[in-house]
Amino acid sequence: MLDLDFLPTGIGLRETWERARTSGLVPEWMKALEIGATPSREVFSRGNLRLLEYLPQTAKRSGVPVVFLPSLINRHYVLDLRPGRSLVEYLVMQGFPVYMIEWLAPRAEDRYLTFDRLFSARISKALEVVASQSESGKFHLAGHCLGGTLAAIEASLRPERIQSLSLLTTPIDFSHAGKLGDWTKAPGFDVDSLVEAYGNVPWPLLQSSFQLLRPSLVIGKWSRLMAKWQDTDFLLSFLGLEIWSSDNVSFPGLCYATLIREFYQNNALVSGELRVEGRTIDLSKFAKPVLDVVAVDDHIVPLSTRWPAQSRVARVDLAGGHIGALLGGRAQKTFWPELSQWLKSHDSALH
Amino acid sequence: MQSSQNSPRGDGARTGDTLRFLEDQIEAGLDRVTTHPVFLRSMSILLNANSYRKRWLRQTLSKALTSLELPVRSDQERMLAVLQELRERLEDLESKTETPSSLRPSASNRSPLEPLERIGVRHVGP
Repeated sequence: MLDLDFLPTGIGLRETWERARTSGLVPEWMKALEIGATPSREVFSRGNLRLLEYLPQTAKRSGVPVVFLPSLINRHYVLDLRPGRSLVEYLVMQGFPVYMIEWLAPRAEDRYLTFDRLFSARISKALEVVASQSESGKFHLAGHCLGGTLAAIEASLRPERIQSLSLLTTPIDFSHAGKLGDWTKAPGFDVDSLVEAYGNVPWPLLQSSFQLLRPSLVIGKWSRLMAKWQDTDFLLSFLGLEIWSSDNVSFPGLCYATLIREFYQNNALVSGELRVEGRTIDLSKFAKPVLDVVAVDDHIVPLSTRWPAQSRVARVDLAGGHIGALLGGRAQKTFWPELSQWLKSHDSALH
Repeated sequence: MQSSQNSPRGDGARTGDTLRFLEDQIEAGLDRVTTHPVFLRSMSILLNANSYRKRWLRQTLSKALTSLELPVRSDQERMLAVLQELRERLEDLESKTETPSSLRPSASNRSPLEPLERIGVRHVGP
C-alpha cells in the first residue's frame, strides 16, 4: 500500500504528448494542441530549477522583465498552455521580456534541500541572472499559487531588485487555509515521519489530496465536456489542462516539511516568525507595489488566505476557480490586459 | 416564476443546472466526511503506519548492507546532496571571480566536474 518508490519523481507528460503528436499517433484535430509552445531558451539551470527566457516576438521589446515563479509541484506550462490561450505568449506579444522558472523533477538527493538553500542557491541565483539582463537591474516578480508564496519571501529577502510583486491565486495567510489547512493540522499527522519515509514527497500523494479537496468537480468537468464536445477549441484547452493537471513533480522532502510546519501549521509568514537565510521575513515592511489576484471560487487557495489588506496592495477578485479564473476565456479578455497595464504602470524607475 | 416551456434557456442549460445541483449535494456530503475528526484520525493513522513500515524496511535493509560493508542508499543520497551543495558554492565563487553571470554558459551544459577541474581536481576513472 502507498509504495510509490517505483514511480519517477516526475513523468513528463508534456514531452510524452509532444512525441505522440509529432509521430502521428493522435487524431488530426488533436495535433493542433501544442503545449508550452512559446519559443524560449534556457538561460540558467541548477538542481531542480531551470530558468527560461521567452524569445521576443515583437520588433520592439522594452520595459522591465517579468519573471514567473510557479508552484514547486506544478509544471510551469499552465501559464503557457497553448498558442492563443497563453498568458506568457500574451505578455511576450505586449513587448515584455518574459522569464519563467521551471521546476524539474527532484533528484533523490534533493530530499535534503533546505528552504534556506532553495532560496539562497536556486531561486535567488536564477533571479540574479534576470537582474543582470535587465537594464534597470530590476524585474517584476509574479508568483502563481505556492510560487507566489515563494515570490513574496524572495521579494522580502531581496527587495532592492524587485520592481513589483504579483501574486496570482497565492496563499499568504494560512490561518484559515480551507481543507488543506484542516488536514495538515489534524492530530496525528506527522510530517517528519512522512518525509523520513518517502524522501521527496511523491507527486501521486499530493495529487490525490488535491483531488480529494473537491471530488465532485469531476462531475462538472465531464458534464461540461459532454456539452461542448463539438467545440474543438474547448476540447484542446480541456485536453491541455488535463495533461497539465496530471503532470506534477514530487516535492523536495525537507522543503515540504517546512511548508507544512511553518506555513500550514504555524502560519509563520503572517505572524512574522518565519526565518529564511537567517533573517526574519516581515511582509509588512515590503514597500514595493503588490498586486494580489484571487479567484472567488478557489477551493485550493481560499479567499481567506490572501495577503492581509494594506494600502499599497492592489486587489483583484476574479470569478472562477483556481486555474479558470486566471487563464479562462473571460480572464483572457479582461484580466490579462489589466495585468499588462498594471505592470506597465509600474515600469517606472521611480518605484 | 418562468415556466420551463417558456424558458429561453435550452435543455443543455437545464442539464447543467441539474448536474450543478448534484455536484453541490455530493460536495456537501463529502465535505462532512473529509473534515470529520474520525476521518482525519483514521487517515493520519494509515499514513503514519505506512511511513513506519517503509522506515522499518529501509533501516533493516541498511543494517544488513552495512554489516556486509556495502554502501546504502541513504548514505549515497547524503553524499550526493553534499556534493551538489559544494558544486553550487563553487559555481557561485566562480561567478564572483570570473565573468559576469550573464555571459556564462548555462550550468546544465557543463560537465558536473568542470568547476572541480578548474580548481585543479582531476577526474580519475571511466
